[in-house]
Amino acid sequence: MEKAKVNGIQLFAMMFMFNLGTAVVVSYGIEAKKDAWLAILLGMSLGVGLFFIYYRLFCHYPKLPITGYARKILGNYLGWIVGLFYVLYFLQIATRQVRDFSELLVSSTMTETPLLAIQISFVLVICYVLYQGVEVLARTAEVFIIILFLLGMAGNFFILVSGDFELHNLRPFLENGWKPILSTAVLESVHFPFGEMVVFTMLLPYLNKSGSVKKVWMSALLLSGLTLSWTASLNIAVLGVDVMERTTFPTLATIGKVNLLEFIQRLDAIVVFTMLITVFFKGSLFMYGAVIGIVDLFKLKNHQQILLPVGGIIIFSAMTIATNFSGYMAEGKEGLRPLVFPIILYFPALLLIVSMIRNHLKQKMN
Amino acid sequence: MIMKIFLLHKSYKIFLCILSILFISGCWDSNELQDFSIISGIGIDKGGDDPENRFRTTVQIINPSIVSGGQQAGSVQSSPVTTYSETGSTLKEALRKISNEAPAELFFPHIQIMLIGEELAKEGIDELFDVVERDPKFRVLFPVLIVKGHTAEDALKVSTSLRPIPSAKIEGSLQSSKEIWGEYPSTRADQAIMKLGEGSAAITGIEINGDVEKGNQTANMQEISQSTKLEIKGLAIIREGKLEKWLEGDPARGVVWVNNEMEETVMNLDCPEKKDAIAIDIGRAESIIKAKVKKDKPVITIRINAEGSVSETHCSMELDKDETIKELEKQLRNEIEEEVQAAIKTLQEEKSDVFGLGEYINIEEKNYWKKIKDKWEEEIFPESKVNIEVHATIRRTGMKVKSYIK
Repeated sequence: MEKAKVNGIQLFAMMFMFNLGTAVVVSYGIEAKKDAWLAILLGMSLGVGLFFIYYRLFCHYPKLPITGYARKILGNYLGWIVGLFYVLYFLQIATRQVRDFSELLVSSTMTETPLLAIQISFVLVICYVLYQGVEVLARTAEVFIIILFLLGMAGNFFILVSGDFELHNLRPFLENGWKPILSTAVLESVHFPFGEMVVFTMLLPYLNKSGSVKKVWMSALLLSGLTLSWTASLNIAVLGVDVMERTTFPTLATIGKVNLLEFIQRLDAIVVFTMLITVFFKGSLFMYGAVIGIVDLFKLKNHQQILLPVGGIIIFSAMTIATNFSGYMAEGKEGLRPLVFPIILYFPALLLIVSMIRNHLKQKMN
Repeated sequence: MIMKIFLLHKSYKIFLCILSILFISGCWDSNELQDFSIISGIGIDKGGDDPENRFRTTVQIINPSIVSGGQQAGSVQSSPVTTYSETGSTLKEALRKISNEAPAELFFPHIQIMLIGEELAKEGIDELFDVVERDPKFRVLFPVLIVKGHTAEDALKVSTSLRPIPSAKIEGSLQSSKEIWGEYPSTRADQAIMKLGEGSAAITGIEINGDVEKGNQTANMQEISQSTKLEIKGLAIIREGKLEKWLEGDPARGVVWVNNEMEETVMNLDCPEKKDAIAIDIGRAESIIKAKVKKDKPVITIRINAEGSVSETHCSMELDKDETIKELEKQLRNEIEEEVQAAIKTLQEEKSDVFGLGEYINIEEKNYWKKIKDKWEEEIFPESKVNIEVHATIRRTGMKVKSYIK
């Protein structure tokens, strides 16, 4: 653990951008068709439930990351294994961020650039900021959230003004009943991105005022959930469900329709920058989680020395995770599913129950 | 540790900065402007019966020195654009094959129009748009037109004056005809894709007036009244991807009314003793569509609100009186209703719901829609009751009240 302090606003900025990362650009929640916005909001509410599990654990052990208190609660060996699972999960998701980002660039703007070239430069930047430490990452977030906000405002404004916004694309409400909405909420949106916030259990010990955790986490969760829900609705209203289902990066297609006065057009850069900024933070945070998890589990002195090796692993697995985009997407949808719930729900719930029983027993002993 | 070295020495930092120049320029995808042939318009025709040459694509490439350089006195003017054609089994193949003829790599983002030959349109246009949607080099915001009676290649060969790039001329005519006359809508490629996915679509046509070979010469461009001209004409009804019927006049404008695309137009009303002698400028129009299900049958109500002013009259009428205006409004209402009625009737006969009325039923009664969805265009739509309510108002009479005509 490095000695660093992060304040509430910085943590909020990181969480908010973390949640928007990739979700704001890919066709998110579309399995629920026209009611994607509702599925996302439901996923968000389930995310609130998850938060309370993490929060109770944090209250018991405010100075430790999840890999640390897992060993306190489950004993050294079992806890260590659970911690290792978390590290692997963080690595895996960090890998996906790198791949997502490079796929977007290659398929939309830089069609002739090799995937590897983009990934190497991206991972090197992440390594650099993590070398400087989590404080630097947090301050960077503080700066970039303002830029992101301006980009978002500009993008939304242009889309709404350009007149392609058709509200009736979102109707009728509940076209296919509740089933697809619930299944999307439970299987997809609860994990991506709200459940992925489990990585912040590694960062909470750095918060300068531990009392503000609830406020910061909840506001970031709600705001990002609303933003994502709005973006999905915007995409459907502009593109229609049918097109959105077929499109790899619908937000990019949506902004491509902006044509104001034959003059303000081709604003793809707004979306690419949004993706770049948000995925940078998401990737950095996951990699940081993985790295300090490794430091904690293997009792290393500091995290700087393993950044480049971990970066190498991430690049390697981002290249080999799938040979094509379709396989990659399928892996993200079905391949990850069985691994996700233990990480975001079962392990934390288990930890919470065991620690409560332990505390109870301790009190009885006394 | 490698990273520590980077941070320690100042000279390394400078070295790194210089090194990064190599990477941040994005060399892989860099392209120079002069290495491109900029395409202004693209045309797709039927190639042959063989799968080998299923499509024939034509590109119209801008000649930058003529377009930007202005008139060079004395020298022989070459044409402002050049076209190249190739055949292939897929559009992408045909387009890539054009490289054999074109001077440089084709550049797609500045396409202004896409033309489709009538022969191909009759066989089906469903598969033409996949490449447009999939390839990031295309922008989907250009309008699509169907060439009436000719091939797209012919249409792209016709030279035009005033706007030397023919594609720009076509695009301009389409825009102004849509905004000023309102008979034909402009359908962008992305809208065409959406409509074709839903069922039927209405796409505007273009016609070549005159001899194609004459149009191919720059002399055509230098004539005051061009002997070969391009004209926006006809509304093609596409059903299941195939061109079924051309609409013109009243039914075509009726489609525009219903689709809420009417911006401005002129309607002619009758004087007491003269037919079609009063012109009303329509300045504002909107349509509101509502659907209901009554006794297991859909009832659709199309409400049209139009606002206009008297802009010409050939007879003496007491235009300063409210009653006269009310009388004219009544006539205007009937005129608009007739057009809309004509459109609905023709399309019901054609079994083509180009208005997307089905979606309104879906919004209102989603369970009922699920039942009838598959037979909607074939059976239900032609039999459905469509109520038309027109609300027309005449706001003013221009700079004069009564006419000098006695």
